[in-house]
Amino acid sequence: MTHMKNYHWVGKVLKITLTAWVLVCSMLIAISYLLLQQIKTQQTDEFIEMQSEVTHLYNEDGLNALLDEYELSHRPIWHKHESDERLDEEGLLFSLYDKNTLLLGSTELTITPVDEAIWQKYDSTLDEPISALYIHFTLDERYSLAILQPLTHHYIDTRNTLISINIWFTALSWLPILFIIFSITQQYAVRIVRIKNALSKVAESPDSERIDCDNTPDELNALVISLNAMLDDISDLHTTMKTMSVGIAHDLKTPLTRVANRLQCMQQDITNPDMLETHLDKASSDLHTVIATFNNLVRLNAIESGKHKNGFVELNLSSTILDLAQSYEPVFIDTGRNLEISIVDDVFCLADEDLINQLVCNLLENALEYSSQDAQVWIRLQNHIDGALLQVGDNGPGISVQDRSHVFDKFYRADISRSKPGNGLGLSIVKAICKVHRGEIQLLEHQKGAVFNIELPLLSQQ
Amino acid sequence: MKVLIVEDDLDTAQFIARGLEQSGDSATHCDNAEQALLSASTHPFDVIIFDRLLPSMDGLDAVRILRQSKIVTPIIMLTALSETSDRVAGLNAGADDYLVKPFAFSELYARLKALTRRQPLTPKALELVVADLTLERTTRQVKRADTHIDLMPKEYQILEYLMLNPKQLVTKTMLLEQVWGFSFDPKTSLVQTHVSRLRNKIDKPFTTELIKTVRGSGYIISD
Repeated sequence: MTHMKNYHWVGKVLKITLTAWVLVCSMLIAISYLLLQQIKTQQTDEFIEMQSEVTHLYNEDGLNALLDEYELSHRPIWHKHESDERLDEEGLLFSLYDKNTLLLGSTELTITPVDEAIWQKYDSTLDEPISALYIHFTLDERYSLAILQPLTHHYIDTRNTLISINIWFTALSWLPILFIIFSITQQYAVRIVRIKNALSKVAESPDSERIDCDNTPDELNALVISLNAMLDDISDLHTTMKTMSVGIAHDLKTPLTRVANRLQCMQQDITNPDMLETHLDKASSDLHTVIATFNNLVRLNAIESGKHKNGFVELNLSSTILDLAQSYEPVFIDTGRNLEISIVDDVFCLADEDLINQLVCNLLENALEYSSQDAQVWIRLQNHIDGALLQVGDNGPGISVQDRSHVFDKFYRADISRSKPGNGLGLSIVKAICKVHRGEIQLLEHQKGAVFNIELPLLSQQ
Repeated sequence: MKVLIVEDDLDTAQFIARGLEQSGDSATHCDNAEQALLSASTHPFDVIIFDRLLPSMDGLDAVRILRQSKIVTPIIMLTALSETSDRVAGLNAGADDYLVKPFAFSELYARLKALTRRQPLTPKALELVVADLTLERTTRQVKRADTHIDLMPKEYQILEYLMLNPKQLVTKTMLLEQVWGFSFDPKTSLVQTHVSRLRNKIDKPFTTELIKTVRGSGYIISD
C-alpha cells in the first residue's frame, strides 16, 4: 500500500506514447511548412533578381534591345485565354505599358503600379486560382513593366509530396499505437482472468490458493497484494468460524441434551411432584447456561463492533479497579485463595466503565476458575511508559505451551472435555475490550502461573 | 396490582398474564402501540410492561408519547437487546426499568413490585426500618436491637436496596445492576458471597433471620 503512487505505469506509457505521437506530427508539419517557406523565399529572390536584370538591360541598351533579347519585337498582345495558356506554358506573364497604354503583353495585369514584389491570387481559366508573385515597376517616366510569376512546379510538387507524407504518417502511425494499447490491454486481460480463476478456487476453499504476483509495481499487483491480504484475513476468519461453530455446537449441545433428558424423566415421573421439581430445577439451570452463552456472544459482538466508543469518558481506572477488586476479595477468600491488591492512585484513561468492569471481572473469574485451590492471585495497576499497566496473575498451575497461543480464541478451552463450567468466551471478551480501548493484552511467558499484562494508552494518546 | 402488558408475541404475553393472575394481580393485554396508548390514557394502571420491538412503532417512541401526554404510570421495558446503550436509551425515553429477554417470571415480578412500591415509599426516606433493624441513610449507620453493626461499602449498599424494597423479592441481577452497576453477569458467586457476609453480620448473632433466600431467584428482607 505504501508505494501505491508508483502504480500508474500503464497510464504513463499511454500518455507518453500519445504525447510523442502529437509531437512528431507537429514537428513534421512544422518542418514541411518551413521547407515550403524557404522555396517561396528563394523564388522571390530569383524574381527580384530577374527584375533588376530587366531594368539593367533597359537602362544599358534601351527598349528595342530589351524586346529583341526577349524576342518580342512583334509586340504581341495576349487576351485572357492566351494569357492563361502562356502562364501555364512559360510560368511567366508580363505587360509593358507606355504611360497608361498597354504596349505589349497580357491584358490581364493591373495598370496600377506595385513597387514591391507581392504574392497575390490569379484567376486562371485553365486551373484553380493560383498564388503568384506580382510586381509592376517603372522603367523610366514613360515605360512601366508588370510581371506575374506563379508558384514554381518545384514548390507545388514538394508541397504535394509533403502533404502525402503527413497524411500517411498520421494514418499509419496509429497502427503501432493501437498495437501498444492492444498488447497492454491484452496483458491486463490475461492477468485479470488469472486473478478471477484464483478467486473462483478460493471461493471453493479459502485456504487453497493465493494469486501469483511479480515485482512490477503496477495497479494490478497492488490489487493482487490487497486481495491476498484479504484472503489471509478471510481464511483466518474461516478458521475462527470453524472453531466457533464447533464451540457453539458443543457448548449448546451438552446443556440442551440434558434438558431433553430431563423432559423425558419428567414424563416418567409425572406422578411424583418432588422428582418433578428436581427435574424442573435442573432443566432450568441448563437452559440458563445456554442463554448465558448466547448473551456472551451477543455482548462480544457488540464490543467488537466498537459502538461503545461513543460512551468513552475520562475514567479513574484506579478507583474503578480498586472497588471491583475489593468486591472480589471475599470471593477469593471463601474459595481458599488469596487476592493481593496493589493499585497506584489516580491512573486515568479514556474508557467505558462498564467494559473496564467486565475486563477485570473476566480476568478475576478466570483466575478463580483455573488457579490451584490455595493459589496466590494478584491484581496490580500502575502507570507505565506511555499508558496504564494492569496485571492480573496467579502462581499456578499456568497454561501449557500448546494452549498459550489459543487462550484468546473464541470458544477455545484448554480443557478438551469441556467438563468445567464456562463457555470459553471470557478471555475473548477481555481481548475485544482491550482492542476497543486500543490497548494490548499479553500472556507473559516463563511464569509459574497465568499472568496477563494489559497496557491501556493514557488520555493523551487517545 | 393492575398491569398493562404491551407485547406483540402472544406466548410471552400469556406467560406474563398467567403469572400475574396466579399472584392475584390483574393483567390487560394489548398487541400494538396505538391500542396501548389509548388504554394507558383511559384506564388507571399501576404499572405498564412495554415490549421494545412492536410491529408498527418502536416501543421507545410509544413511551416517549406516553410521557409527553403526562402519563406517569411506571413503565418497565422488555427487550432482546442487552447493551448498556440500549438500556440508557430506554431510561432516557421515560421508562423506569429495563429487562432483557429471556427472563424468569420471578425476576419480572420482583421488578414490577419494586416499581409499584417505590411510589408510596419516598425514595428519599432518611431512615429505613425492618423489624428491629434500622439503617440511617445520612450517617450510613446500621443497628439491630440497639447493637451497632459495621458493614463494608458493598454490604451496606445491598442492605439499603433490600430495605428500600421490604417484603419484595430482589433478584441477583437487580443487585448486580443497582450495587455494582454491571450490565453483564459475572459467572461466579459475587452477589452470594457479599449477601452471605452481610447475613453473618446482621442475622447470625440474632435469633430471627431477616434476609431470606428464594432459591434460584434472589432475596427477600422481612420480619
